[in-house]
Amino acid sequence: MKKKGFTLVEMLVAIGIFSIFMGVLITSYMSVVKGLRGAEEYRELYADARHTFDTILENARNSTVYGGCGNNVDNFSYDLEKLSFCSTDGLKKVTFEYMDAEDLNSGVLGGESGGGDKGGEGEGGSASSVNNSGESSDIVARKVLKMTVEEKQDPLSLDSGYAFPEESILNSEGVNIKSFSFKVFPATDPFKSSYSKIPYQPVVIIDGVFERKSASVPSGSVEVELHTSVSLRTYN
Amino acid sequence: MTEVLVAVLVLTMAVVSASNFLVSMMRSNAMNTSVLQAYYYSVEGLEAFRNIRDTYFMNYLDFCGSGDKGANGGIFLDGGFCNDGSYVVAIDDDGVNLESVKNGDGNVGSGDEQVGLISDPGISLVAVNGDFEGAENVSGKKFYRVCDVKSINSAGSNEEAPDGPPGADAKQITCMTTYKDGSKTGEVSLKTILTNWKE
Repeated sequence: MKKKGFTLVEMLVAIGIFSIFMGVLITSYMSVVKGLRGAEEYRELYADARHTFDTILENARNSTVYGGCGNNVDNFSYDLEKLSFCSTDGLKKVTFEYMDAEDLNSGVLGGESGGGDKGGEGEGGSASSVNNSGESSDIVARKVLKMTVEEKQDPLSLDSGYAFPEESILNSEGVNIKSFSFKVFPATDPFKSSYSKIPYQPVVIIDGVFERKSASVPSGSVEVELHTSVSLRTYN
Repeated sequence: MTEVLVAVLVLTMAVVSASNFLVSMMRSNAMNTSVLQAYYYSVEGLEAFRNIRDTYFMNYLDFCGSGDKGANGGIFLDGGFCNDGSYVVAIDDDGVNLESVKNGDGNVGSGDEQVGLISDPGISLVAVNGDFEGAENVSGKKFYRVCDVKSINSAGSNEEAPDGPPGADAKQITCMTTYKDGSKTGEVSLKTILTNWKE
């Protein structure tokens, strides 16, 4: 009587086929996971870059960089790492500054120097919406773009200084701003006496390179370089 | 045995092709750097036209820059974007250049016409006509931006102005930035309408 069951050869063939199938399946799964991770890294990078540029454009369009805004109006012929925009009524000033994360005040987005937990403080307004990576960056010497919003202490007094600064960081923790600069045309204040008869909209040119650590590319990081310019709609 | 082998083969092919499709879809999503860059180049193009229009407006001039420029004519473009056509907006360390290209290569050369130059504040503008295929004028070798100016009726209508001088009523500005990503070509096109505030 013949016994029921598989021969050793059949078992070996079955295991072989199963192994090959599992190998293909696992490889495909790993590719999908890697692709998802890469897409997520890019998404965060784009979100940061776009958020940063859009925030600057939004503030710049209805502002001026001249007058009592605190900028060095004789210094516009150079690339600037810091620029302030003042509202038409002069009550609000928004300053953007490209700087080392190490130089931030400890109060700005708590946990910034540690590079890990943000402490759940929730400050920073719109900036907090992109600070959600939850990862620390291995990119050495992380640089950030700080936004400071100030308002006149006494709106009714022309001599009143700006106060109540609210500081936030525009790029999230996993994203480093490799380089950033502003350029203003004309290089000198067009609303000064010599230009007073030429109403003119100054232009602010913005350049920035954003980078993020990435395991999905051989170089270990992904980056995006953006450039645009905006006309300041406020004039005298 | 044969049936099992065929089944496994079919299943494997299905899994591999599905996962490859997913991966390529995610990668193409991820590789949208050029789209983002092109978007901001197009924004910049529209801003340049708005800037010129507003400078005219603030100085009581129309689209063509017609009117008394006084002693400060140097900051205005001679012809502005009075004439419909294609313009290249090039922005570099010296400011903004708006160029009218006629020689077809997208780069300003012997056949091209400089529409105007705002040298004093550091902004200039030139205009171009022709086939821009393969031309590169923004950010080195990768991007090319061209802005089309078309006369239209006011109140947002897309109909062309029936009569009268071009640009008498409103201008539709379309800034398109094209780019090459390997073998692929893409474009980002933005559109706005600028009215002639003098009318």
